This record gives sequence, C-alpha cells and structure tokens, in this order.
Amino acid sequence: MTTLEARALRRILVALDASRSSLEALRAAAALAARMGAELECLFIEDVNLVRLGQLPVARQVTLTGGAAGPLEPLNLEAELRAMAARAREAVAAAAAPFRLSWSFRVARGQVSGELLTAAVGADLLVVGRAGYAVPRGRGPGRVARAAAARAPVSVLVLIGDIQPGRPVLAVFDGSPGSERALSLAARLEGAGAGSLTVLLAAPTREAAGRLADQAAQLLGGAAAPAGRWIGGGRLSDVVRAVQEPDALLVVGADSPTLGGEAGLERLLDEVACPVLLAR
Amino acid sequence: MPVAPLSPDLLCRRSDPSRFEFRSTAELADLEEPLGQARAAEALRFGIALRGEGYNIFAMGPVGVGKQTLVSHVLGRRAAEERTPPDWVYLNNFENRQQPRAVQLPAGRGTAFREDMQRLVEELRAAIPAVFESDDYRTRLQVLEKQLEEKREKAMHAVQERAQQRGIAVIRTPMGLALAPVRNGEVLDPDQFHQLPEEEQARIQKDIAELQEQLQATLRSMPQLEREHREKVKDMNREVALFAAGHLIDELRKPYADLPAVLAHLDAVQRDVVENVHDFLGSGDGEDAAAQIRKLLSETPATHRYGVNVVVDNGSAKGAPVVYEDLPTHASLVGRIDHHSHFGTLVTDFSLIRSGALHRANGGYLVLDVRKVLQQPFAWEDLKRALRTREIRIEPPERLIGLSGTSSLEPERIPLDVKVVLLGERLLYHLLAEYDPEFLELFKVAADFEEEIDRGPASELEYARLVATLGRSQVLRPFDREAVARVVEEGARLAGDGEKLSTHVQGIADLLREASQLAGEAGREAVERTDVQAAVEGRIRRADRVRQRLLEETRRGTILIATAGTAVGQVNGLSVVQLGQFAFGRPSRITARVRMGKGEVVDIEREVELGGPIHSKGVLILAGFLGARYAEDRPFTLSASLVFEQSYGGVEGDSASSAELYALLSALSGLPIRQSLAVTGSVNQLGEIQAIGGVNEKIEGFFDLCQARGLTGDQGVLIPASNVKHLMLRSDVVEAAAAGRFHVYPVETVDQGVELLTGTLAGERGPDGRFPEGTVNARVVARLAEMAERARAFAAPPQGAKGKADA
Repeated sequence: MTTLEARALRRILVALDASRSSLEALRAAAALAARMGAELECLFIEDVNLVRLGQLPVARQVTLTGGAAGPLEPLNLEAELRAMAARAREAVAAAAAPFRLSWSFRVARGQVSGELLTAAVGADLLVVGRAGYAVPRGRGPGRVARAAAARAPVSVLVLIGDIQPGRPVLAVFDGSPGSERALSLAARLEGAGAGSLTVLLAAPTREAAGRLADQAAQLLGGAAAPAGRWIGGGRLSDVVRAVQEPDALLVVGADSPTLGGEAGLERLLDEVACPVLLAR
Repeated sequence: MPVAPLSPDLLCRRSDPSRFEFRSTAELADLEEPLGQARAAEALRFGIALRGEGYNIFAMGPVGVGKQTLVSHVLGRRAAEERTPPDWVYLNNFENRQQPRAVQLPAGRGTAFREDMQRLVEELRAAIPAVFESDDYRTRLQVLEKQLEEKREKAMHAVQERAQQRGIAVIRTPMGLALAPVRNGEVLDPDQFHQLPEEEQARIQKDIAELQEQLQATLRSMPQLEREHREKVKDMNREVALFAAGHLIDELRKPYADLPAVLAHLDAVQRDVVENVHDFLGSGDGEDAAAQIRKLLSETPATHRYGVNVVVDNGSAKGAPVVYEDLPTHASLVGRIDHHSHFGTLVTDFSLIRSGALHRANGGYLVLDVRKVLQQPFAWEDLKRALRTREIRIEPPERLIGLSGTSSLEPERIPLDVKVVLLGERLLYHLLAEYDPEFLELFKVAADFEEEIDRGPASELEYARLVATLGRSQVLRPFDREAVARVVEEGARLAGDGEKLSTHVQGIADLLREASQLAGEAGREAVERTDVQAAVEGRIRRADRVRQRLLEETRRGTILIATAGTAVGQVNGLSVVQLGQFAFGRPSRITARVRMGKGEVVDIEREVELGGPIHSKGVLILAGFLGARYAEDRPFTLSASLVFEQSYGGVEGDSASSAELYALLSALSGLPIRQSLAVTGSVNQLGEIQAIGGVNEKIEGFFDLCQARGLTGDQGVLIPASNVKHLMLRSDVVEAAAAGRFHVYPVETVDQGVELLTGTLAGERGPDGRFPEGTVNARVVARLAEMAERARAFAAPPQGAKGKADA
C-alpha cells in the first residue's frame, strides 16, 4: 500500500444567485481558498426558466412582500436579474478582499443545474449553498445543490449551516478507493488549518475497524496517526448517527460503498445537519 | 478762655494689662459662643425650636462677625440630639419610564438595597442564560420551530401538489413566486405555449388563475402562522424565565417584607424580567440584526433598569444633617438630571438623577449664604418654592422658563422637612423684606448679629478669651497679657470707638495670625505686645501705597496744603479715603471767597455735581447760621463761594461744614487762619459743632503730613468735643501730643474754633446787641453791614430818575 498524495485544490468554483445561502457559500469558499492557496471562480447563473417566465403571457407572479398578483414584466425581470448579478459581484469582491484572493466572476444564462455542472469541469472543488431561490421543498439542500452533489465531475462542498475555521473534520473511511480520496482531502483540509481530523471507521467488526485504522494511518504517512472512531457496520445510518455535531465538516467519498449511491447521498443530505464534502 | 488741647491719656484709651490675672492666653478657657452675640444666639435657638411653617432663620450682620460659626455651633448641638432622617432612592418606573419613583427607606438601607439589586442582576445574568441554553429549552424551541416549518411546508405543498397535477410549476423569482406551465421541469417558451391547442391554453390560464388565488391565500396565512409561533415562543420564554428568576426575586423579598414600596418594586422587576428575558441572553445567534441594533440603541439597558439610585444616604449619619452649601446653584440646591451621550444623542434615565443640598439636608438643617443664593439664576425661586410647597421638585431650568419642549424625566417629588438658615448682610434682609412679599412669610426669625460690644473690664477679659479661642483653633502661639491688651486696643480702634470693642472676629483672627507669625520669626514662644504692634504697622504699611503717594505729592508741593503760616479765607479740612479695608485721613485745602450778592453761599462742589446731598445740606446749614447770626435785621447781601481745592473726585458728608464756616468767617472778617491747624466737624444752625466719623484717621492724616514736614509744636487738629470718646490714636500721635509737639483740640462751638484758628476773640453780643469791637463776630457784622449799605446804594434809583419820579 502506498502513501496517498494529497490532491491539490487550485480552483474553487462557487455558484451564486445572491440568495443568503449562496452568500454563505461564497464566504466559506473564500476562507477555504485562502487556506488552500486556491483561486476563486464565481458563477452567477440567470435561470432560463425565469427569463421564459417573463416572455410567457400566461405566467403570473405573486409578490412575497405584499401578496399582489400580476403578469411578469420582461423588462423588470431582466433588470432584477442584472441587479442580483451586480449584488453578487459586490459580495465576491467583499469576501475576497480580506484574503487578497485571486478571483473571477462571470454570468451565465441557462438551466441552473446544467450550467453549473458544465462550469464545474476544470474546477477542483465546487461549493454550493443549501438552497437558492427555490420554493422550500422540505428538509435538506435544494434541487440545484442535490444535482451538483450527485452529478458534478469534481468534489462538491454542500453547505448545510455555516462553516467556521477550526471545526472538526470527520472523514468516512471504509477502505474503498472513494474513501481513500475522502481521507486525502480531509487530511489536506486539516493541514490547511481546519480542525483536527477524526477518521470514522466503517467496518463490521472492531477488529476490522482496527485494520482500517492502521490502513488509514499508513495512507496518511504521518508521524502521528489520526484519531479513529469505529462507527459500526459500514451502513449509511451508522454514518448519520455518528455525525450529530452541527459544527463538524463531514468528508465522504462520492462513490464510497458506505454512501450507497445517489439514493444514499440524497438521504445523507436530508439527515445530517453539518456541511458535507463529497470527494471525487 | 481758649480751648485747651486734650491730655495724652484722652487720645487713646489704653487697656491696662495689670487687670488681667492670667500670664498668657494658654491659661484661658475657650469661649463657648461667639463674643457678644447673646441676642443672635437666643434668636437662633428660638427659630430652631419652632417647627411651624415659615420659621426659617435669617442670620444678619456684616461679614466676619461669626455668623456661620455661631449657626454651625447651635445647629450642630441641636441636630446631634435629633433622629437621623431616612434614605431616599430613585427607582425605574416600569409603567412610565419618564416618571422615576422616589422611595423612602430607613437610614442605611438604601445602599443595602442597591447592593442587593446589583447582586440580583448578576444572578439573573447567570441563571437565565443557563436555563435558556439548556437542552430542554432547545428541544422545546426546536419542536415549536419544526411545527411552524411543517405548517408552512404543508400550506405550500398543497399549492405545489395541485399545481403539479395540472402541469404548472411554482417558481421563485426575485420578487416573489411565479406560476407557469412546465414540461419536463422546464418552463414552456412562448412558441411552445402558442402551439398548444386553444382549449389547452385556456385551461392553463384558468388553472393559473385559480392557483394564484390559492397561492395568495397561502402567503397571507404565513404571517399569522409566524405570529402564532412567536406567541408560543414568548409564552414558553415567560414560563422558563419565571422558573429561572422567580426564586431569586422571592429570596430578595424576605429582607424587605416590612417595606411595601420595595415589595411593589420587586413585583414590577419580576414582571419586567419575564417580559424582557432576551436582555439577559446577550447577542446570540438566534437574535437578528434588528434586535441587536434595538438593544444597542436602547436608552436603558437591563443592568440599569433594575438598579437603585441612592440619592440620600444617611447610613453613616448620627442625628439630623446640617448641610452648608457653598455654591447654591439651581442644580446644587434641588438636584439635577444628568445626561450621557448615546450614539450622538443625549439620553437620561432615573439612574442619572443627582441629589441637591435640599435632599441631603432633608430632615435637618440647610445653611446658605443669601448673597450667593441671590446671585445664582433660579436658586432663590427654587428655594422659596421648595419651602412653600414642602417638597423637592427636580426640574431642568429650561423647563422652568418654558424654553424646552424636549422630553425629559419628571421624577416623583420628595416631601421636604428642612429648616433653612440664611446668612447675609442687613441690607439684603431689609431689601428682601421690602421687595419680596414671600420673604417674611418664609423667614420669620431674624437673628441680628452685633458689630461691637461695650468696653469694660469684663468685656476685655472676654476679648482675651476670644484671643485664646482663636489662637487654639488656628494653632497659634499663646499671647501674653501685654499682647492681649494691645489686641483689645486694636479691637477698639476697629470699632472706631474707645468705649467699644469690635466683634469682627475675622479681622481679629487675621491680626492674631500675623502677630503669631512675627513672634515665631523672632523666636518667641509667646506673642508679645511688640509683635501685635508690628503686625498692625505691617498691615498699614502693606496697604498704604496710595496714602504715601498723596503725602509725597503734598510734600513736593503738587497738592497745596500749608502747615504753617496764616491765610485769609483758607482752612485745612480733613476727609477720609476708604480703600478696601484700609482707611486713611487726607487733608484738603478749603477756600472761601465773598462778594456782594443776594445772600447765597455757592457750593462749587454741588454746582459741578461733585458734591453729594449731605455735603450740600451742610453748606446750606452754615448759610442759615450766617444769616441768622449776622444779618437778622438787614438784608443778607453776601454772595460766597466755597470749594475743596484740588479735589477731582466726589465730596460727601458734612464733616467739613465747620471748616467751610471758618473759611467764610475768615474771608468776611479779613482775619487770617492758622494753617498749622486742621479742622473737622459738622456745624448746626446754632453754631454748635457736631460729631463726625473717622476722627482717628483724620487726625492721623494731618499728623503724618506735619510730621513729614517736621513738627513745630504749633500744629494740631480741631475735632468736635463729642468725638473725644472715639479717640484711639496711634501711639506716635499720642507720644507727640505728650511731648507738646502736636495738639488735639475738642471744640464745642464755632466761636471756640474760630478763636483757635484766628487767635482773635470771637466776641459775644453785649446788652446793646452789638459784638465787642475788634472781635471776629464784630468784624463779620461790620463787613456784612457794609455790603448791605452798598447794595442799598446800588439799588437806589439815580438822582435824575428820582426827581422825575417825585415830580
């Protein structure tokens, strides 16, 4: 078994729509980019569905502030979108300034998920907020965040709640290649000033967990072995039960068997209260 | 028989040290009360004993006679026997913050209550967050939030379900929520929509209209859901806060069970804590920015609101308070309301109420200097209002004069029970009595302080005890009896009377201090007569720059005063110059010129408005004397003018009227006046010489000039005989008189004076009504007769005119 090579994060992509959660994602991404020495790419996506709404005479809008109803004015809508983009750009500049980050900002128009997935090609990490301008759909992240988590070609950080420096990093390790990537990414975060790393060992027996711990220590190759915690038989419910601290950061391999595919990912995002970093 | 000069023993009434049985003041006991103020002390005791309304006291007399000392002494004794008044505190009024509540507590318990409330707030700060951060509370809050979330989702889900069933999506826009037909998760573009059959388009339109109404109804229900949620959270918070705070406040109720006002306040505190529990929870994550800003901008933070502002603390007092307020401004009398800057705005609350002298003296005595009270804006009216209404009302001055409309506090008024003692001069008492109709109703007792006492063996001994008392209080050296005798003499000199002693304690105390200092410099244990004498001379030396300059200019001939030779119509008058506390005599040349006229004596000083009314009165009196004595039976055809030569300031008083008369008599008679003599004394219409003030200074003023030029033995001063008892002359004057080099003549009549001055008999009317030939009076009569005759000749018509008339 060889030592893992820490995967470099040089470009961090943030999806913005000027919603509160996307601004939280921006701040988290800026802090992460500063720690990692990465460049910050910001993408504001004008939802094509919104643009079409303005062109469709039959569409109606009800305002949230006054409850007034009426057709959507295309010109007003376009102006609103431009204003949102401008606000998003100002927010990027403000978030990057304290860290003197290298950053870029661009605006795209199209299906939000599609545009985001396309833009993610070439990035090293995609950061998405919990939910944007969507109608609430129950607990957990919104549609775009779920789509990005499931289908992005790169690692995805889904911000559920805020992310603070120094918070503990929990990496799920079941011995699979996917969990090895998760471990690598978690170790890199720890090294870049995040909190202490705890390896969540997903194994059916304590002995197997011990072996996994040895394997993890060997992979990380450090002088001091990371803290390990056996979480049970390697099912998703064991992970959810183990991650009850809302101020932790959970790192899990996207194709790790413990996660159990896309359905498992959906469940994970619904049930944990902390940010999730899907390693790819 | 010419008037003889006074013997030296009459020029200064010495104090005989051999009459004192002590060797030094160290053997003497202190005076129990200020010297010679028995009447004032009795008035003070009377005023203090009477508790009725308006029995406040005005202690009047000049500065330095010991008013404050006696008042403090009498009040101090009385107050020590009286009960200690209660403490007063101001508390926040939870029902109306603008009107803080005033609460009375037994003496000493105000501070304890303040400390108890501070402790309570500290305990609440620990106890309340602990309960609100507990898992139980969080769980209950999460349950409520989840219930709200579920209700919201349920409401929105119903709309979304119905929309989805009809192929319509609910989409968030920057402004709100939109309804639009979708296919495969994407909104139809206009072309796709128009390609739909018309029935389908109509159905979509109809569905969207229905869904829009439903969506609007759902959105309208959201605030109600949130309101219900907030109420539930509030109810829960109240319950939890009461659980956390109730037992702590209950504990505090026990020691104050005897004070209903405190218990009522604690009830209000409990209600307020429960209602405003978030004040104790800090700026947690759960608090939005608006709430944090509100808290920052709040004028009364929680720590202040529950505090206790002790405005009167009698915890360490023994008996009733005696307060002397040295700076009786509006604020320092009735208290004030301070402000502090809060985000650029001046704000205030009950904790910034500051007490005044009336608060501190409540239940006791307040001593004020009336001049200072009258000098301070609003202070006099404030004091009267407080005494009239018997309560202390704290109001900003701008509100008193109706200048301000800004909102401020209106603290509850505090009942007032105080006796005020005003210290001031007699003039102020009489002015207030005359012009302020309320004054005599509010200050019914006047304590009048004596400025001097009769001099005799007993009072000289009392004076010695005064020297002992002052010496001890100021830690001075003891005074031997010779020194005491000199102090007694100086006391008589300060009184301006050989038969009186000044009660101006301040002046005596200053003299003692200076004499003691000189004795110390000379290395003496006890102060001796020479030290007192040196101190007196030192005082004169320090103050007499102007006197010396005038003397110098007189010697140099700039100011024309002759002290030898004779002159007609010219006499040396004497006046007194007062510079601060130092007075000195100054000779002035008075001249008279006569001519034929209409019987007028022109006072040049009055003509140019340099003479005061009393001086003018004196001149008119002497005109009356002249007319009555010398021109009883013929027209008074004299026209005379009188002037103080080289006088460029004002002249007031009638003490020069005899001198002016001598000048006139000289001018009329042609007899020259001896310039080696100076004159003082007023004259009446009968020719009698009357007493004047400042006799000592006047004699010394002329003596100094003569001495500077060299005493000839011919020089002296004519004084009214009735002033002899006032003589307390300097020792050098007395010594010169004893050696026959200077003389003081007591004069009773104009005739005595004119004889001394001219060396010619005045003359008395004989049986034939005529004055003896060659006398002063005969010469005056002859001159006036001559003038009358010439006037008649002038008035007679010319010869031609007469003939014509006869024809």
